[in-house]
Amino acid sequence: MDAKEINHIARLARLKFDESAVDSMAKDLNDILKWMDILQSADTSSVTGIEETAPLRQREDKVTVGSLSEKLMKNAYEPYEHFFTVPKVVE
Amino acid sequence: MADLTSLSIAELSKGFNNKEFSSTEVTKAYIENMEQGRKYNAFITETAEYALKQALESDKRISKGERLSDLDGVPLGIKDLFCTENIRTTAASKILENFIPPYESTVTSKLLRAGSVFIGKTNLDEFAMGGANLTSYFGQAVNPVKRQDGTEVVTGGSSGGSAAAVAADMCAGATGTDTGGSIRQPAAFCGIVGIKPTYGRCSRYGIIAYASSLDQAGPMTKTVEDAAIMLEKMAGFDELDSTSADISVPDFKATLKNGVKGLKIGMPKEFLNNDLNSEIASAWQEGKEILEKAGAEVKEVSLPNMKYALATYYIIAPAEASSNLARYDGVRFGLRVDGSSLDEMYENTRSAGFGAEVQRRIMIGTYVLSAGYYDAYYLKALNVRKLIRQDYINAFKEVDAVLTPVAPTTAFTIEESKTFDPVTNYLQDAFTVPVNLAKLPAISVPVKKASNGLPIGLQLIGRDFDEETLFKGAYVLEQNNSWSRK
Repeated sequence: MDAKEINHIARLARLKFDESAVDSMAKDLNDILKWMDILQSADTSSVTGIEETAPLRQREDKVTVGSLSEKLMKNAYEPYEHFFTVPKVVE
Repeated sequence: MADLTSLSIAELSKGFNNKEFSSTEVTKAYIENMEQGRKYNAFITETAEYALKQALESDKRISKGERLSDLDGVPLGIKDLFCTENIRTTAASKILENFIPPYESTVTSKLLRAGSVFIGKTNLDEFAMGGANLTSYFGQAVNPVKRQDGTEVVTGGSSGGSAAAVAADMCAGATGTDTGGSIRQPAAFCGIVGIKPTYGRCSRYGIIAYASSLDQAGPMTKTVEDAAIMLEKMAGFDELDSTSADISVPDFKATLKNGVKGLKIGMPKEFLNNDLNSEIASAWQEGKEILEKAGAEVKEVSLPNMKYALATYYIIAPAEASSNLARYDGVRFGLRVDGSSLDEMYENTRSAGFGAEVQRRIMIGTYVLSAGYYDAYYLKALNVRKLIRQDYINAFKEVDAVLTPVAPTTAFTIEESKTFDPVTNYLQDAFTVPVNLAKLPAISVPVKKASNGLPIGLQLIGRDFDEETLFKGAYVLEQNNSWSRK
């Protein structure tokens, strides 16, 4: 991975690094990925599909705990009435 | 009277029942230890006032003969990854430094319903990502057990604060979580007991997520019996976690002392010639002999795909983490660092709020899930994960449990850890991560003191939902070994 690729992945992850951090991140990630190459020698031809020990349970889509909006807004950054606020996205 | 804080949960329970002491007395003694033990940095938030209030309630129940369970009145530490209603919960991250959950996790709800007393929220690696408690935004925890020459060592991690708190008698037991060894390795480093139950045994509802297909909660305690008592109260089906197992929870304590006569125990030959540290190898051999002497049959088994486990883990866990941690965006809760646009606000918040190791794992996870790399890394890892689980299933046709070391070394110093690159750090988890990948239960129990004075732990791995066998085996190991906590 080079600096360009690090910046692309950082952008996808909504992170940003200054120049020196990009270099050390590139080194770390290259070392880690190289070490992961061992997986390519694993014979997975006998494996079909994806491991699932138990099927995921689904529950009925219904309100179980009632209105939580008061509680949920307590940790919000500068809420406006019952709304979360973010920087302006539409001109 | 003996020092109240040196008693096990089982001993405390007996004392409460016989009215030898009150929960308030015990809680006060633990609070004093907690305050005197601040040098260990085991707690991120102390909740002494809350604890005393709970202890008083407990004493009222005890005096009326209405004790709720063996845990009623018992002071516990809670890993700061479990959401506790109206009590700050940080995941040891700057991004959640001021987060006060509006709800209680299922595991802590169950412990509260059992009457236990919460003395504080324990330190951990940030978002449980680390094996030495060095990535915490609130500073590292310090191991109460030192080398013979007095050198301080790390607690292990990620549940390092819980391990230190139990080891230094700052609480009678503590909760931990284990995604790749985060209960078992710090338990081994600090000389206490820890069990990672089968995936699905404890509800993950309200536990701040790291890697959802691997995360499991479990107890960290002074004795094997205490772990059995605590796990029984933490476990059980929960509608609020779609991966929670609808399986009844056995009375682990009842069968704990039944012995291992006739049990078959496997030792994986792949770990026997793994450049294993000679003292770890000899502790492993001693564990084998203890179990044999108690009537178990020990034999070699083969787990041929273990060599792939670490790489598999370090693809799957970061992939899941990168997705789980996407929620920290500065909008609904947690830190916000302003920016001129929404995207800039996201980036500023996340770059300032997450520490270096968390950012590294988010980057790895984002990379292995990104277009062009998904098949080569993530899908391949999912398939290898199946091979790893199949290895254990094959072994369990011949044996009832598998015995291995917990960690390749005893606890290291902070100075030593500075010489580790990320890959060297990840190698520490070689014995623990395969168990999470296979979703199996495993218990860590200290068995021996190394020549440097530090504890060495062994791990027993069992079949799905067969924690009972692990408690029996661990109890035999505990009762017959040369390790002593004091």
